Amino acid sequence: MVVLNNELYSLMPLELSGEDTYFINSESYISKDIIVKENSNIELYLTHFTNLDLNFFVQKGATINLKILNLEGEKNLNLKGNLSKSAIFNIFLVDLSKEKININSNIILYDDDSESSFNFSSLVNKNNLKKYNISYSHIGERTISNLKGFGVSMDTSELNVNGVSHIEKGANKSNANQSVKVILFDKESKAKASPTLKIDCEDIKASHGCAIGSLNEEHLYYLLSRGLSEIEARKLITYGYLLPISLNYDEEIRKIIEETIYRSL
Amino acid sequence: MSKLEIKNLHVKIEDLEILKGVDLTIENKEMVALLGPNGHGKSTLLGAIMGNPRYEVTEGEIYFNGEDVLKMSVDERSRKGIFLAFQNPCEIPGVINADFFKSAMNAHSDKKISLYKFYKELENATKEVKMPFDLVNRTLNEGFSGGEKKRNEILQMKLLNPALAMLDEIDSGLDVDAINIVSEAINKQFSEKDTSFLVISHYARLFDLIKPTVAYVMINGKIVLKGDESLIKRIDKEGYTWIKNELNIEIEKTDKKAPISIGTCATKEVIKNGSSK
Repeated sequence: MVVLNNELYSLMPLELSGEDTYFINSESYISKDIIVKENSNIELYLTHFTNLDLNFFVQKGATINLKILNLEGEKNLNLKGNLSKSAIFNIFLVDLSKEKININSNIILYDDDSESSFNFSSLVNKNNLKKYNISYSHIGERTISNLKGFGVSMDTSELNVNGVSHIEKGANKSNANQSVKVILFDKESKAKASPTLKIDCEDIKASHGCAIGSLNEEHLYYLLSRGLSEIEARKLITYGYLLPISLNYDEEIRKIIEETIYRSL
Repeated sequence: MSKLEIKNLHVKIEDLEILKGVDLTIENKEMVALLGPNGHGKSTLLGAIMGNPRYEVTEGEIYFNGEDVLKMSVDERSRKGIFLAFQNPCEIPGVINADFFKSAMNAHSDKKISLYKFYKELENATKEVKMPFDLVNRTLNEGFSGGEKKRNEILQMKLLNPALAMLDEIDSGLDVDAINIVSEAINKQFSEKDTSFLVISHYARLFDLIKPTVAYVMINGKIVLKGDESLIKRIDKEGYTWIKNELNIEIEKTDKKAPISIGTCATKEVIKNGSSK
């Protein structure tokens, strides 16, 4: 495990190689190019940050799993990715802060067989607004993108998710999926989800869907019929929405995620 | 000791009146069979007793051990000892079976159950319904086969040990071995605990195995006949048309269907309508 610090302030691009886990902890503004070297396998944790522009170049056969945990503070995060042949870039975002956040993610699946996923679990409370703009450009053949998110909006808050997947001409046999589900915990909370597919190629697969609504009444009835109070039942369903993503994090962070979700509801 | 009394119960789903004056009493430690043609209100009765929010009770009374059930919320009814095994148990993404069971058992107890006791009881109950223990760590009913879902319902009955267990077509979708397992679990609960049963099934096989002490027939939203094992056998052999002749009842066609709800058997809907839409 390596904590990145001075490397982030150098003018040279940061190169990550081999198989290792890195942490970025920085409260000041950073703009950084990060090269994930050929065939390496990298875990990168982002747990403390304020304003970050990260530009990833994922080389041939390399994999990077970017794991973001946002617990507090207003934030802006801009992510860019450019993927070479058979490169994989997975982004996990657990966003539980009580403050505003803007996230822009733009991943270009430039070479053949590259793939990327953006997975998020987001709790928006305390009269807050969280905005995620997540876009994918499929250029290489057989490229895959998956946007999968679960959100809970409560206390007059709003979650705004804008997903755009563009399969460009020549990106044959590519596959783009978008799925966003948001629970509105009370009548005053809001959510907007706009899943968009732009398709300029015929031989592809694509799907998109979003579901925004209050808690499923039938699920609630089932849990109540076993004696759980409405508050407990609502909590259990909400944990079920937000918790599964935590399995992708290491044990220590997973515990922090679980405790924060339990405390927040 | 438990006693359920239902008097002149009328229930609507949206604008459709399904139950049109049901009278029924279930005494302590009774094993009651509820029969009747499809769409005549059997599942609605069970849902109304449990408190399905989509059902509107327009008239009548339900008392359980002398307490007014209609004044209770769904969870209160459960904590008073009423249990419903759903015909089509729902899948709840992300909710882990074991977490749910633990919350339910804690809700039924004055003090929190210890982890050791919880796992011991869970292990015993899974063994009894011959369910692989790893299913308890999966999300609630997600990816479960039809049979596993039904066994999961019986498992919950075992854990919660209700005074009245209502089983809505618990045998549908079960193979012969699974029916034997489920009926053994029902019989064990019935003989060892103070649980009364109200059981809906279309098949005499289950009733042969659990041997109800009383049988009721529901037609047109009312209980029209009370009998014993011989009534179940006759219906199994001859269907319901003889009731029409003997009691001079016109069996209403159920073209105007009740809205599909959690208590509806999805498989049956598909077979009836010829599609899943």
